[in-house]
Amino acid sequence: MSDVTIRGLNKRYGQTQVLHDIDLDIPSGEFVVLLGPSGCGKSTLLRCISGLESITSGGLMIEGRRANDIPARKRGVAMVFQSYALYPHMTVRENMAYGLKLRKMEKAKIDATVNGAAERLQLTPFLDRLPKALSGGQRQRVAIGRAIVQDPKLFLFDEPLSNLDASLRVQMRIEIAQIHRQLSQTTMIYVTHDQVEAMTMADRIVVLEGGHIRQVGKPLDLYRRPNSLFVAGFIGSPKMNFITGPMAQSRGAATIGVRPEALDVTDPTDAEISGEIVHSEELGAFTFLYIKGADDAEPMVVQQPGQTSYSEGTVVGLRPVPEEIHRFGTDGNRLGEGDPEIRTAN
Amino acid sequence: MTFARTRAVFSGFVAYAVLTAFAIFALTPLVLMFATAFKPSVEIFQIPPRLLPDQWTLGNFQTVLFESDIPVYALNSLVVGGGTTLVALTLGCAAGYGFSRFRFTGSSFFLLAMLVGQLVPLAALIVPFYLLFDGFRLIDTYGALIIGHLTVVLPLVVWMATSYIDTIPRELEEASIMDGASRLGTLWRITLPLAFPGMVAIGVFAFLNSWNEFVLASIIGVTNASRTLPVGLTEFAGMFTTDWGSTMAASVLMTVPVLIAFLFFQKYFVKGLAAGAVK
Repeated sequence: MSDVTIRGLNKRYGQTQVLHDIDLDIPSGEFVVLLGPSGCGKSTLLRCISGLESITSGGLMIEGRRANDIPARKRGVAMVFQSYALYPHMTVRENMAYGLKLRKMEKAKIDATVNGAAERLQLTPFLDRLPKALSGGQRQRVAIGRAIVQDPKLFLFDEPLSNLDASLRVQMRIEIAQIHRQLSQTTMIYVTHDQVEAMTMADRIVVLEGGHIRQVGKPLDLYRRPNSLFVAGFIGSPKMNFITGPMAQSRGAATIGVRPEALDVTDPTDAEISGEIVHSEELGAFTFLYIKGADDAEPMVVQQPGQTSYSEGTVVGLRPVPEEIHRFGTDGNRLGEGDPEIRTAN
Repeated sequence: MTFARTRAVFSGFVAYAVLTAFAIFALTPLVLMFATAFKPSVEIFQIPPRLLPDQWTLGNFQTVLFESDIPVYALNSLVVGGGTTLVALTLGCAAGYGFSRFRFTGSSFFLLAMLVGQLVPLAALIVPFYLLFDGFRLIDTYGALIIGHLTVVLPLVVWMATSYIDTIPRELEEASIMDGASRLGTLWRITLPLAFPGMVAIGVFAFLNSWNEFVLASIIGVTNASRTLPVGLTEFAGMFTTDWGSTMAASVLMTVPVLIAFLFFQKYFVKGLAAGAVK
């Protein structure tokens, strides 16, 4: 159990600044996801917290204690790596017992701890196998098991599911969420660029872009009230439709954003926007229609429930649900109502 | 038979023919060496020449083992080769780990600079080496030979070790550190065991280089105290005659242990070289 406080954290590699004045408070037991596109600094932030990277300036407190100068091995932090990083010359049992042996734990206690974690992660039949004899999902479970047995104060995950196939990813997502429920007192920080992982697992999401925190909030708060064009476009799939020009200006904004499910398809004569259906994707439960207007802008995406009778080439009108319109200013920031739950970072 | 099939059979045939020719080219001296070692001296220059002896004899081996100093030279070669290998592995792997894992000012320069020494032919170094070792009163000692061989072997060993350690994912070391190990502990428990195939390859490379080295050994190893096998083999060559039977028997004795060791370590050697080593 541990709370993490980050104040004005900066990270530089020579002349390149990777993290800019990061401020973040993570209470004990929270599952926080660091989300952002490739190169946004999320993994670097995680590695700064782990101690694998030094902090250029600013403060990192773990359990109220300044951790900047505490070596990684003494921070009481466990980490699950993207590539699993299992020791290939050791069996699953030896992998899981490695850290406990280093702590000079009694053999009987090591066995009990490893067996307990293996049972929890359904790894008991594989304890005497080498990592190369395991599937991707099993390897990931071993990596998690190796971290669990440490009984860490803080659990760090660096894109742990990105090497798995889609179905296994869903399964492991559920398993990690279950582990978090079981270890409800353990703080977990999870890095991903997959917004579905972030939305489904996080207590709170930290959205990063270019080394800056863009927004921190609960998943649905970020979805419903993104504080900038970047967050609005990054959270949600398919992404939010952005409209500029007279339609936005008539609502006092430089840009307005409408989610695909907040656009109604109407008669073209009776709508603010009209265009031709250029593509449709039928997913069974939903159909996504891609509608191209007269200008050269990207096609608008509309989500329709179930299957639709619209065929490609049909000209339709679109009407946004008024209360679902997000307004953004010329600086890209959200206009309008403030929300105390959503904080705009620096 | 289709054209594609004919072509595949033909190219297979050509490949095997070329490889067989190379194999014969490479193995003929070895076969001749073994055959000659078991021939009585009258048969060695027999006309017409025969590959296998009419009368097999162990006389040449008897001469080599009991009437010459070859066993002493073998021991010297073993000590010098072993010493060179041990020091090269210790220093080379430590340096390789440093070059692979740490960024420091001039690391690329140092790595390149080490190879510059390789550009100078050993023959050009003999006089400076002799003067240097003489100054330290090291002529005719194991130490001088080991140091001399290290100057040739160590730069390549450092390069091989750097390349090999580069292939071991850093994340494994980071995971070990997160598990609570120190960097030295991680090196001992994770990196070195994983580098084992590479170390075997590097060790075999260092040992073979030292075991076969002639030029330096012939200048520094002047007496039985440090004369090595390649130099010792010349003992059977007199001013007017050469005892080819004994020379070949000694060559067999010199080759067989290395051959056996190489076959034993072949698996690691190939794995180590395939993993990105320099040679």
